[in-house]
Amino acid sequence: MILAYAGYVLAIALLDGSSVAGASVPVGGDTVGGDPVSGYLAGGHTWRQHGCQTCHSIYGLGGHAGPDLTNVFRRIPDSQVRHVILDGHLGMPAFDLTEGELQGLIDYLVFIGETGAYPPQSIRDPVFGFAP
Amino acid sequence: MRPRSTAAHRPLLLLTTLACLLLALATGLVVAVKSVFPELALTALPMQILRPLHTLASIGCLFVGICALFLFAGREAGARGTRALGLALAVLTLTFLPAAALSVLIGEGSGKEYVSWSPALTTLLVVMFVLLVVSFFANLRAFVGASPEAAWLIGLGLLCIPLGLVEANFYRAVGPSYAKEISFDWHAMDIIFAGWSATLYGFGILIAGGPAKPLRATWLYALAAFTFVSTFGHHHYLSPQAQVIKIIALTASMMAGVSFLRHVREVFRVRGLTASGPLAPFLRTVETWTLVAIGSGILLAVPQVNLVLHGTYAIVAHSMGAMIGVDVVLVLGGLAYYLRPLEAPTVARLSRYMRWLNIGLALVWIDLVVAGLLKGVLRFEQIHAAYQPVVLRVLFPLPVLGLLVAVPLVLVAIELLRQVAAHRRSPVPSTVRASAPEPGGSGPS
Repeated sequence: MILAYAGYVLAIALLDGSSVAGASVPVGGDTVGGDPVSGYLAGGHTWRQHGCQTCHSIYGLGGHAGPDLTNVFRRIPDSQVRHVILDGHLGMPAFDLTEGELQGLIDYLVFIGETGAYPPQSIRDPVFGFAP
Repeated sequence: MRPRSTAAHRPLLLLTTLACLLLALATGLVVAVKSVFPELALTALPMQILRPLHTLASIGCLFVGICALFLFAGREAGARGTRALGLALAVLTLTFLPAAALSVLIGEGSGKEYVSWSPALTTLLVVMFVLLVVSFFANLRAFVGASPEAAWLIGLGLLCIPLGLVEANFYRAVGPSYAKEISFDWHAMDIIFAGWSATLYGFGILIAGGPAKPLRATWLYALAAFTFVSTFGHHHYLSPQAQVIKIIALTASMMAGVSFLRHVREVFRVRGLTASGPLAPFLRTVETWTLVAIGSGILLAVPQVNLVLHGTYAIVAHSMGAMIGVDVVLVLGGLAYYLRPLEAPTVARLSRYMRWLNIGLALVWIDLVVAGLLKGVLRFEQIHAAYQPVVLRVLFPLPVLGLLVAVPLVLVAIELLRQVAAHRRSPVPSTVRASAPEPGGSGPS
């Protein structure tokens, strides 16, 4: 049991994400924000610190009260995302973030958005997702 | 009769289990209302605190319930060192729970799903389960003597839980790789789910009584270990996880069909054999919802179905059906068993409450599945702002249906508290408890 577990964890640690050959991320919308890689860690901290995952999901994992945010910047522009976070919208409260925290969060979501596509747009989408 | 001080930790852990259950129910009802009316009390009742508090209380109920059942079961099996273990577990749980709740309330939680408390406090849980593992293996002969199969399940489950708790913090070490972060997060959770389910099933076998089931073929256990480690990967088909892990997950999930067929047989067997036993209502509920959980889990693991239902309330239905219908009922049934003998009126009331619970849980389950199906289909064509109002209309009855789940569970908790009070007024000698009627038959398998 311990060996099986250790092997599986090693597999997660070593294997890079991949998907069905030939299925690539659908392109659309603007890529916005600063440097996604450098902002990723800081943005992830902000994401967790403010409990974003209680209402929002990424790749369908998380809360269901709000929309999935995997490819949020393909749907709405940067300015609207900033407005919703800082001023609230419908069932979402306003969050008092500094400009650094806000930019980090945006970088985090931009980074994630480049890793794949979710939610599926058609019943004919690849069942094992899209390659980054 | 045992001196009161040596048994104090068992009722304390039992009371803590029930307190966690009541908090989980209360917060769950508020979350249900907020899910349907998201703009309600945005500041006064923020979802970022309510949901983590709800999952903390739910997990606390199961973890502390496992501690209590381990001590009760260990005592009856003749395990040694349970007094010191009980003291340690009481200290750890009563330190962890308020600290974890406080960390969530002041916004210092992990921000993660399920494992919502401050990461530093996970150390207390790891220590708790390591102590349980050590005690289990130190008393292996006693537990195997009670039931080899139960012992195997309890041991495997207790090993999984601390492994998952440690893995839940691996995301800190993976650097800027969201694929690995999400993989570790959810694999950790899946191992913890598998761990507590296996442990509670083991206790279920003990409380069901009947002839002790021998160990089966070694290859079956190797298969079980493989599925424990990998089956829940069907959460990730659509995420940027490695393809090979998705294929392993699909394979392991489809193998659960073997377990499903065995549980179909068990549903009918348990109904017949435990018809008159005091724990019959609990065991029937567990077998029925095990069937629902495994069956829905297999369906959700079919990639084409997963494409539609992943990330919807159908997943919530699956997890609530399993956690409440199987895990919580096993905890409550186990506690009822170890508080025996149960008087006939108590048994009649418990039976009634379990009937109500099954009806309420079935209605909640159906409501969530319909809402999930609707979202899954509508989101192919519409954005969240367009389909969400339609989904919320389907979810409208959820708070009331949630009451139909909460009320019977509260009533069961009250019956257990009455049993604890009765035992304190008139302690039951262990010889009387040992000769109390056994439920008979076999339990979850």
